[in-house]
Amino acid sequence: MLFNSIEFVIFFILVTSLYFVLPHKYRWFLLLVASCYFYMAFVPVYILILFFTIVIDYFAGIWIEEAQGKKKKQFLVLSLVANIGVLAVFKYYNFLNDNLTFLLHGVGWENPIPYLSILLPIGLSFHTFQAMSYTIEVYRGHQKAERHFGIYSLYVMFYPQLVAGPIERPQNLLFQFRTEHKFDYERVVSGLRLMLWGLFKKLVIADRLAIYVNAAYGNPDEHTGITLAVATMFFAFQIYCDFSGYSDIAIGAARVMGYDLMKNFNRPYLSASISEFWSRWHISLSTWFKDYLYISMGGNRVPIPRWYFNLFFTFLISGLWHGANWTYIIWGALNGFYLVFALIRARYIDKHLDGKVPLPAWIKKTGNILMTFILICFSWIFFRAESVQDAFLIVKKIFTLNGPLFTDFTQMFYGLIGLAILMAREIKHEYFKNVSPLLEHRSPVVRYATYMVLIALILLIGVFDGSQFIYFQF
Amino acid sequence: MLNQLVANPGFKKFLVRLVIFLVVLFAIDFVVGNVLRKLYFQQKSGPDYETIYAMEKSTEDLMVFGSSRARNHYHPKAFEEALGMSFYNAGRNGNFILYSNAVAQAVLKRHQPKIVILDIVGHEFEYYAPNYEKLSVLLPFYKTHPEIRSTVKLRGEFEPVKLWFQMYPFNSTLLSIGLGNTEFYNKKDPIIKGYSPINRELNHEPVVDTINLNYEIDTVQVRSYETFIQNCKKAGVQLYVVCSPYFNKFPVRDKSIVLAEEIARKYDVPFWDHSQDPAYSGNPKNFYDIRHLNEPASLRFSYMLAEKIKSADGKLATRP
Repeated sequence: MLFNSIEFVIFFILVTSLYFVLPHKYRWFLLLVASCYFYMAFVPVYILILFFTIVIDYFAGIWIEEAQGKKKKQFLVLSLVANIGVLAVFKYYNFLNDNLTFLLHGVGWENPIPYLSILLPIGLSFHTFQAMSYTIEVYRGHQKAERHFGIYSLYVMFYPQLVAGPIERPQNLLFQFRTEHKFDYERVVSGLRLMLWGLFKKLVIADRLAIYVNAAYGNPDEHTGITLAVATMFFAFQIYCDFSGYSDIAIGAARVMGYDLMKNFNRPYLSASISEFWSRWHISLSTWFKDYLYISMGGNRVPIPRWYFNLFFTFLISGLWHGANWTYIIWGALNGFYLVFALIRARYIDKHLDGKVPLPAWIKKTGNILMTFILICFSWIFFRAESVQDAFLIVKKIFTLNGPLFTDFTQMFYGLIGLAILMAREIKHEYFKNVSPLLEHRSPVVRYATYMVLIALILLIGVFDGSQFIYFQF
Repeated sequence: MLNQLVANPGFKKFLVRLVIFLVVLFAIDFVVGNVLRKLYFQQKSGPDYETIYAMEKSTEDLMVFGSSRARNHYHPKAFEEALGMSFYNAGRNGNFILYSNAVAQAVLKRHQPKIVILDIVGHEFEYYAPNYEKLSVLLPFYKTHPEIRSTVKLRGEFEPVKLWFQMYPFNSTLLSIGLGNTEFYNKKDPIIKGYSPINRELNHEPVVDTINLNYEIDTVQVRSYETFIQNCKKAGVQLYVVCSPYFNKFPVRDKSIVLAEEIARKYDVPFWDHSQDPAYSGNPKNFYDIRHLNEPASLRFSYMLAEKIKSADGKLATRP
């Protein structure tokens, strides 16, 4: 069930109304049933995979808590192997087999291992990572094992964040299922407002820009460098509005019922460096990798070359997390390289330049924001391209910039209206914190007028083709 | 628990504000939607204007239905001169049999042309989701044309729910409404009775088109084609189904063309497949892109077709 569908609107109204009508002790059950229904609206049978990991992690959590010494670690390993095993089979098996076939062909051998004819369960990487964070936190002693099987299942399956995050930590979410949430006017309105804004980002900006991006990236041979450059820039905003729009709807839907989910985006394209970008983009995943991989490898408390390796490796794995394709691996590696390069630059170059470039701070900052945006856009080429060959073709064409710009005037016109509204809001929140934002304005007239304008824009220039959210595929 | 909820002052406040919000929303939607409706239906040029004309105003003796290939391939001058009939080309870019069938239903409800030509394309019946999305061009007619409602509902089961909003039918039309109320489109690309003349030539040689030969046939679109034929027959209209020339070569005859011919034969409707007509296909001087004839070639093609319609032996011919 997609957030941008009428089915979801009906589902949300029904579930939320029932939620507030039911006594607290039955609410977990309602949410669990609703979450199962929500997930089964995609491919029903895949709920069995979820059930499998839930059972393993539920018992692993209890055993980890009760065990001592080496046994504790063994139960953690059992949980991690089960989760990563599911990911390996459903997400990476065919990719690995493909590469094996390629290597064996190189030496003239046939690959005897068969391919699996399976669809990737929707949101698999998200709920697997959320489940793993539970057993890791129990192992680290930061979270008590959950004894209530229903509540633990709900932690993994909570429908607002089930298929594309935010990837929650058990410390932040589990206790909330035990807390009674009364109808709170301010929370409900604030949640609905966030959902409206998320829907605007998805339907008016992301899906509109997608039309231009798909035309260019679907056939890079036929398009000029300037068209592909514009399409890449549009993709940067498409993926941002698609994913942050999803997150806003998820966080908003949870907030209406009284649950706080973590913030997933914080105006990432106003970052002045790559490391700042990664502290503002898909925060729940970035912090997951930081907490459970990067720091486990030693983080920055190791010799400098090892530190650089840790950073690079974390981003390489982050690329692989996104998809079983070399394009994602290159994307991850590129971002890892940017970060390592920035560290080297800071260590060996920047300290010699400090104060020697006579430019006003705001020009420097603007330059850094633009440079960060360009570097991120460059990495998006690999993320969006359908193959590595396509990605390199696009890079080559962009660097030659020959030929005219493909102007789909209608799509660009509507897309740019949405983008202008987005940027105005982002800049206001970033630099003009004292100015009351229109959506949350003190004056009800201004607030209502803003709601009406957003709804009118959704109805008049939103794209209603029922397109999926990009991150569902991960 | 329900009592607690009803007694919650926040809940009462929420309900009151929700009602105010919905009243304001529907009032604004009603006003804006009706202003847009008025502006939409008073357009003077552009693709929406042409659909409005075809559905609500056309009275011509000969009408052409189809996609951009219909729009570029059937020249009014040839048919008017050769057959002595008034002519209108109701082809629309990017729209195929589902659209043609809906527009034809609206036309036949109030007017019976003497002749209808339906131009079908290779891959006409291929399942392609955007073919359903593009039916959005019919949304402004949903309210006033009950005959097209079943076609609009193919976009999705919740389409009637979305149409509770008066603004929704005009989704993505703001720009075209603005421009259509001026002479912008007529000045940009002059249109002659629905026909769009393009005067360019290709500068490369043809290739064998092997793209996706074994595609999935969409039974909904096949049914729509069959309904188109049945409606014309019922209205006593002489129908011709034509597949006009393509630049590239087909390695095998396209599945949709074969199926369209079978169905046309079943209803005793003349079916002329010119998709690989050597008089046009393969010659870059006849095309402005690989799917569309340029104006001089479309004029020749139209004269040829008009003569074929005129000749008695053309009536049940199949291939050129």
